Amino acid sequence: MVNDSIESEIRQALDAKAHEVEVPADLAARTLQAAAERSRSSLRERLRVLRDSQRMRAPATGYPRWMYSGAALGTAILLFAVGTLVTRDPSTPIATSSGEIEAQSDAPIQEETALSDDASGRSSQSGKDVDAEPGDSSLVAPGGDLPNQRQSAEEVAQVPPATRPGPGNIPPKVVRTAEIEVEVRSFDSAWNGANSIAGKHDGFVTNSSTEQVRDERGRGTLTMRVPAPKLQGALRDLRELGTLAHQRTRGEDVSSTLVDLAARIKSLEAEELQVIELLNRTTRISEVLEIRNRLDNVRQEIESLKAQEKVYKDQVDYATINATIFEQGAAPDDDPNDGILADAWDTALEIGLTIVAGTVVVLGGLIPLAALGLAIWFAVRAIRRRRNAPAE
Amino acid sequence: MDEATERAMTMLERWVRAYQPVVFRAAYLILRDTQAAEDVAQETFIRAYNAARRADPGDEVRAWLYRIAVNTALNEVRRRKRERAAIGRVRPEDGFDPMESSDRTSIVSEAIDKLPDRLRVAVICRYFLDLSESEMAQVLKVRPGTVKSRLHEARRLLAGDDALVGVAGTTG
Repeated sequence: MVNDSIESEIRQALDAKAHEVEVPADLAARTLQAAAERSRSSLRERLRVLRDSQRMRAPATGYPRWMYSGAALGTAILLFAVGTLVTRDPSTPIATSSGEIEAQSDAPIQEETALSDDASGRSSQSGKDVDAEPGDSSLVAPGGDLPNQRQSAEEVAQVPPATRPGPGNIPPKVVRTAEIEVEVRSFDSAWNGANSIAGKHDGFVTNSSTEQVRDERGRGTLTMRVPAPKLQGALRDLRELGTLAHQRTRGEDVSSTLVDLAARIKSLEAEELQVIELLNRTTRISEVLEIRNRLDNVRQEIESLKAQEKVYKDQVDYATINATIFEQGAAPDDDPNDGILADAWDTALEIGLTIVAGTVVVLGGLIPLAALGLAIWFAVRAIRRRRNAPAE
Repeated sequence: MDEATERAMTMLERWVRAYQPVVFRAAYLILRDTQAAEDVAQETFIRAYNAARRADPGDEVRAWLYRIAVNTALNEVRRRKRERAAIGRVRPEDGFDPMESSDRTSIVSEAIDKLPDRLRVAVICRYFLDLSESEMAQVLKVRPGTVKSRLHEARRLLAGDDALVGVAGTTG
């Protein structure tokens, strides 16, 4: 009862007190106007609040923010580069500046076989270099041992894919050259054997030289020509002189060059006949001299082209082998002054290229991540702002 | 003006007509200052309007508006307390000087004014705004039991106020 009385009195008192003041007549209008103005300026207000909050959040001490960002980016790049170097498979092919893919191996025996286009640029299908080394499964039959693999690689490389025997394919004219380095126990006997290999395969030696290098160890280079079909046999015999250190076989397809030469010769020969006929009908001395002059030029051109054709045909018919025979410790690339700096340069170049590539990858990868992070940041910020808004 | 803003503005007009006088008076009771009450009455509805643009306030608009109003007023009370404390360090605060009045209603009103803020606001919420105890618990951010105890303490203090007792003695 007392409570009810008190409550009633409190209500009356509060009501009376509250009605001591009049609600301003324009309060509602002012409120609505203020709300409308607030909504119009809300964007500007939000930007101001954002700027203020950023100012408040800015670190009072320490380094500028861009330094932190730069340090973070640099750390990411460094980590990527180190990770790439640590995890990279050493046997992974490295692209060289010429665009070839050069296979590297720690194996002591390195063998390469290549076939390239001629200068006039025949079909690109037949012009690709083909490198082969022991274990290159793309060029050998499954299950073959090392000698068989070598043989398979060479045999396959001899025949460009587009000109392998097949319906409508004309046998290509390929100039073959080979480089081979063989380490032998006894230089003198091996050198004699190497010189006899050319004759054994119906070829001939065009150049040879020998020298004594460190500790009177023998080393000789030999250039021989053998009929193209017998190239592999000659190489095999050379390999059998000792231990193969390096072999590289190249094939240059000159088919288009020969076809072009033949066509130009045929055309010039036809022209020569016409000039001769014209000469026979001409009686005036001045014209005779002029026509003879022209006939001489055509004949000279025909001879030149035929000489070129002959050289090409000779190169096609006879392969060239550049052989190096050496005793242990006298290998051509054993010069101690040559290796360290070259290796250091190669390593430095490789690391530099890897870092540049890694940087490109990191920057490229950061773009979508940055966009995602920005979106998340905006979302989190919006949620926080709602939560932190004054309790309403 | 986008659709959400237009809808919020429509709601704001309705809320201002229905609730702003009560909010203004409640703010006046809490702050005992007409100008401050006007500010609170405006700020309350602008806050409500901004919130309504972002999300639907739901059906319990009345309690929600009162909650905003009381919180806004309490913020102002706290701000004034800080100001008074700062001034008080320089110039001692004048004591409470109730109006001379023999009117019982005025005496009760003055007795309410003498209550601590936490009790005074509870009284205003309960007996002027007619908020339920659960609504008060939300507004004041305390447990319902605390609301009950505050109201009980407020009533006990008011019932035992010497001025009230004296007036009751002379009038009764």
